[in-house]
Amino acid sequence: MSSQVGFEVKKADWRTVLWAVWANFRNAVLGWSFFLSNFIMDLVGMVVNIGIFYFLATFTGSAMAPHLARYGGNYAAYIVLGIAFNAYLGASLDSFYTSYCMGYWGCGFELYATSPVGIKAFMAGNILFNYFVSTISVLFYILFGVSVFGIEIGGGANFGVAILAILLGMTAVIGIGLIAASTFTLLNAKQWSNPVTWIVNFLVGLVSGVYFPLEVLPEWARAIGYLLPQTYAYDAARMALLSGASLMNQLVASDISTLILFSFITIPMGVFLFKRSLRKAERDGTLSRWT
Amino acid sequence: MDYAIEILDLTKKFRRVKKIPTTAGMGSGHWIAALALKLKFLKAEEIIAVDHVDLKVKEEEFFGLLGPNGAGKTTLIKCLSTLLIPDEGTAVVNGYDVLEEPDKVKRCINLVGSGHWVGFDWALTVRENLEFFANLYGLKPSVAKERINEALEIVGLKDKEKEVPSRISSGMRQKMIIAKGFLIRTPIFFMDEPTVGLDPVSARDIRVYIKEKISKELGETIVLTTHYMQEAEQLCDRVAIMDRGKIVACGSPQELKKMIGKHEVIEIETVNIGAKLIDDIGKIDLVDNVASHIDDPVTSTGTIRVHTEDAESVLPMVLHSIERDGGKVLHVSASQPTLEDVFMKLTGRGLVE
Repeated sequence: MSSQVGFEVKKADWRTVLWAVWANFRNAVLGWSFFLSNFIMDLVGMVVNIGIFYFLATFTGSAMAPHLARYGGNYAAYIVLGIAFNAYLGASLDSFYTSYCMGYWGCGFELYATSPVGIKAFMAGNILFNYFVSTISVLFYILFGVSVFGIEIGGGANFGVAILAILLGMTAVIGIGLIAASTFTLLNAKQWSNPVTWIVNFLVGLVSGVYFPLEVLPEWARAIGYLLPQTYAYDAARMALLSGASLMNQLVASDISTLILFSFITIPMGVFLFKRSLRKAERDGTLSRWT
Repeated sequence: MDYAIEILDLTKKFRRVKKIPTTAGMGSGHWIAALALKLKFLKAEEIIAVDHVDLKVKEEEFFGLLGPNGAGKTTLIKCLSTLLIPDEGTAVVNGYDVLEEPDKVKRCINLVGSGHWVGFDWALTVRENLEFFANLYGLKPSVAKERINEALEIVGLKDKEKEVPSRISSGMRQKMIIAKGFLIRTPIFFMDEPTVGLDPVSARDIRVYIKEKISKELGETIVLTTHYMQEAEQLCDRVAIMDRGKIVACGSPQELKKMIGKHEVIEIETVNIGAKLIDDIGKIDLVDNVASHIDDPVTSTGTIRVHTEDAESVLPMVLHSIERDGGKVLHVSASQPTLEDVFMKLTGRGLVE
């Protein structure tokens, strides 16, 4: 080739990729705060959410008491931690799909697909942003729980096991999140809603133990709960934080082992389906809206 | 002869499920509807967007793809820029196969579309968006600054550089997309209808910059898709005319216009142009082809171009048809053949209908 113009565009090194992830994250945060009313509504939503569960705790706390022994016996603490954990695992479930939607509808994929960093940097930045928002929510919930409900976390709490349980829960749920993201192309679920997230979120709210212990549910509902990784993550993390349970605790050890098993199943499935969906998008021309 | 692009029997088909309604307004229930519709209407129709295209573009050539909307120009560009995987055949871009080495292809192409958003960030200003893009491509800050200044000047956005994209017009956002394209230097530059939606003065300035700076001075190979025949004639060394996925002719604008042969072209400016009138003129003996452009949709005022081998005999009959159909002739002239006339001769239709 004798063209005067050479390769000005170099292969992206890890610094450029990391910069792109960071820049996307920063842009997402800027965008979040740019639309001030949305930003304020998000904060108001968190407060309202806490209020709802404050009343739940007030009216139903005593009925739940017999089933809360292994979590320290305090329903307020149980529910605040459930909501907080669910914020992280919810982000793991939803953020791959929503960042795919953003890339498609906001035309970011067009820009990134032909750039040296590729669309993964775009998605990673947006996923990071989702975790950032979740972290703010979690801090809000914990702060509210400690100051209003008077819940006590500390003392004998086993933070290491709690973090391990949540991280393993996130890993297993990320696999499901990747499956959810693949439906964008594979099932043409382009309108900010997909069947996988919808079904999992619906079930998690009812039968995974976010809001009430599984023991209050009928057996068939509990059986469904046991099919969700969230159930084991919430159970182990609560026991670790509220009762100081360690990995030596048989129930915690069982939860952790189950989460590892879930991860080995969901992650390969998610990666396989997501790659397949990207390939389909390249074949269909749906990686970009530009036609 | 070195070729910047070699397209070998490239075909792209799309399968569309029949009778899927527009997604607008279906909200979050869309996937349920889509799934249900998919199950109900299993028959899909096949659309051949690019049909066994063979094409070679020389190094440093300014090459045009001319055709009406839906001709397959954008699909072809998407295949060449690795955004779309072809079904059959392949293409070699700057020496790299788009199927075998897409990452290497990406590093030697630049792409400008006409989408008005194309990944720009709402919260960043025009300049910040361009800086972001320059960083994404690893441009040194000093080079980036110099090129951003130059690009903003060329597209006429210097005074809007501190505005966010949502506060500027769609035409200005298109200028942002073009400015983005001017930041990086690559051997091959794909431009997909870049001047759509721009005011005539800006479009002219941008065309001059593309021709003089990017093509002549920097020596980049440019592939421009357009349905503006003047743009193709003004800029391109060679033009391929596309219709329904096929290349129907390829050559320099002069070579293509010679295909008109002995045909004469009568250009009639008139009011009240309608489908019936065009149909009536098309039925006149000795009229080979007829096409129209509406300039004023309110009064249906525009231009009718009539192809014939005997203008003297045909003209009175055409004028009679116009009068009979309630039109009023404003101006009549004998015209030089254009690329649109070539397209019309080859396909029997106008570029813009």
